[in-house]
Amino acid sequence: MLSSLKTPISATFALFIAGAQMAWAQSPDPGTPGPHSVARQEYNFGDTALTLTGFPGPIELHASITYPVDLASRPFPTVIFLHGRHATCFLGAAAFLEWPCTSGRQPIPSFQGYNYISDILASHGFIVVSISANGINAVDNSVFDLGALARAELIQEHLQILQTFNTTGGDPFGTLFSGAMDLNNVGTMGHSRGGEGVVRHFLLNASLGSPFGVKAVFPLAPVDFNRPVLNNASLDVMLPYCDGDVSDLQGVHYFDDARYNVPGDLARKHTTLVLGANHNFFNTIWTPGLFPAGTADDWTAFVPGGTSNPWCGEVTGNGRLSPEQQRGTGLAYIAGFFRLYLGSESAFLPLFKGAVLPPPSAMTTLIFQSYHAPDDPRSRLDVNRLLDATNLSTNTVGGAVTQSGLSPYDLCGGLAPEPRFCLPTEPNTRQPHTTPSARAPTVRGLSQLRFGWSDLTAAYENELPPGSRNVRGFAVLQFRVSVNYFDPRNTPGVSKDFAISLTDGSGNSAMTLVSSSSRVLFFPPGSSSLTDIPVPKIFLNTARIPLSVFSGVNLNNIRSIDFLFDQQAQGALFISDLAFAD
Amino acid sequence: MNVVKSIKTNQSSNVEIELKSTKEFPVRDAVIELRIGNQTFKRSRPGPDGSLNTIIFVLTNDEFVRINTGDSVTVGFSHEPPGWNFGNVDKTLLDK
Repeated sequence: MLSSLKTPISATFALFIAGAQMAWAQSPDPGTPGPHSVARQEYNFGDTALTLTGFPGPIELHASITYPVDLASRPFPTVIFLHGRHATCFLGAAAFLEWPCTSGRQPIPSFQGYNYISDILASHGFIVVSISANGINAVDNSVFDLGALARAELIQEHLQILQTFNTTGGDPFGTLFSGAMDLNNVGTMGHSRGGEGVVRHFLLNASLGSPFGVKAVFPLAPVDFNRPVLNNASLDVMLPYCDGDVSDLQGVHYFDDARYNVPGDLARKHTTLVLGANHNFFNTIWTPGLFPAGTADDWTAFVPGGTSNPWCGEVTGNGRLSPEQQRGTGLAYIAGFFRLYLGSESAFLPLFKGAVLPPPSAMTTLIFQSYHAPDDPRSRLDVNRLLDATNLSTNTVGGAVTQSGLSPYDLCGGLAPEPRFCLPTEPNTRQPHTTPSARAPTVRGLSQLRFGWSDLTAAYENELPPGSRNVRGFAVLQFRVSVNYFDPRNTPGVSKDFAISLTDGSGNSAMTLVSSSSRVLFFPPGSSSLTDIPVPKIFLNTARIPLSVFSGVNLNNIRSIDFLFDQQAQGALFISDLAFAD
Repeated sequence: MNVVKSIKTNQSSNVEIELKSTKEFPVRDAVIELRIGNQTFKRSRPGPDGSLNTIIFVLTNDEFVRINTGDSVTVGFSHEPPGWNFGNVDKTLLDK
């Protein structure tokens, strides 16, 4: 069934992406094995060991610990993995939803599905604990928050167990892990409902006075039913474009909502969009052929008509990744994220800024980043946050904003009176930044500048007032952008381009094309005649334009930034978050 | 084949609507919804045998009052078209 998914990149798509005139730097590869030999053991205190107040069923306390065999250089950063919602029990090829398992059925070990990541992280000196959450999955649809708090409490319970292992020791390991875990340097990765679980856990732990030092949080294809907002911890939300389960990619809200939420937030935030990935293949236990029951390619199984989609379906020339390739993306970015933010391996930072191509272990280059720099004047100068109608004429630093030849030229997606949806007639699954959340349905989404042009003279300018003109300390001019697939001024399969000009106080200008530095102006793939299919999508990725390409202007005194739409006679885009950044 | 198996008042005075289908209700991370007329209900639990062919939706008494006999009954995942059609609801089946 999966044979047609093995083509890594659509030939047409590869052609125009490769056409960008860039000389990319090479990132070190975070997905290769490290120097430590690795071992794994499990602890299991029983299927009904935990009862949570207000939660209607018992929960198991069962997890695996993957660790460096040589624990001499302890303590090690500690990473918690939490799987998502899935069937809980199986018998032969049949899957069931109950807990504990009855009638001779066995638990489905979803928590084992990320061992391929645990092994690599442990080989680099991490301890990785992967938690089973079948008891939550069995009944979480019967509680209002759909299990978010229960998942957070389960993680906290396991951290307390680890604290015991780490201090006095305890069964079944004795003192093996005494002093081995640095529980003030903790990271969490949650898949799907586990993704909201790790965000909710960060907030729970903080509300308890932060007994554990959670520094980095990685929601993988997450739900965001309740719209919790996470600040002051490093964040990367990985989103699979061909997700057939959480097909609206609602987890992008974690990034969007956190950006300007807490002044002085020094934590870096990222999104990682994987164009060829589905929901399930990150977990081997959920992958067809790797476990006897409950597996699915969610795109083909759950999306009516999805099989024939030219990008996410099974047709020749599609853009889908094989399960092995998809695991490569998860491995590279999850391992890289924790090595960067818990292991202080700063060489991986360019990967998460989108400043370098994905590494070989990712097994695809069609991965795109958004990056939000720390709220520190040395790291980021917000030129135009594009948060309300004021920003159509006056930007965040107080400079004038002007345009010519743009139509429409308005904001959408953010707080009222902006229209709630940027494409009002299109399904939510195609507009992740504004898709409503199940338990917070009135909360608005990302405010975006919606605009288009119909001749080569169109332009958009942001002036920088005195006092905001010295940008020499920054590495790039950046903004988030998506091609508007719905506007007929864009042609399916054809990427956009435009020029950016910086002008200094003496009137000197320097210009570059976005395509010279960035790959993000691609037409979102997957167009078809089926109107309910969740692709193409509006998804904003960060374009990073190095200031070094603007030769001949005085970066101590930049007076204006001009977007000049003189490369193509027509087009339409969404943008947000115009800034100078590190 | 899709069947409304029962409509019962439970011990908490909520109303449980048990649905059976030969097409399994997959265990997904997206929210599964019962749609009756223009109203949507998200609280659910599996049937007592753990089979994926049964799902029980739980409505408060107030929610049940607001639905009307004859309203269409479908099940689907949030933001998606309905995947199961159960015809029209008959409120007179409550506790029968």
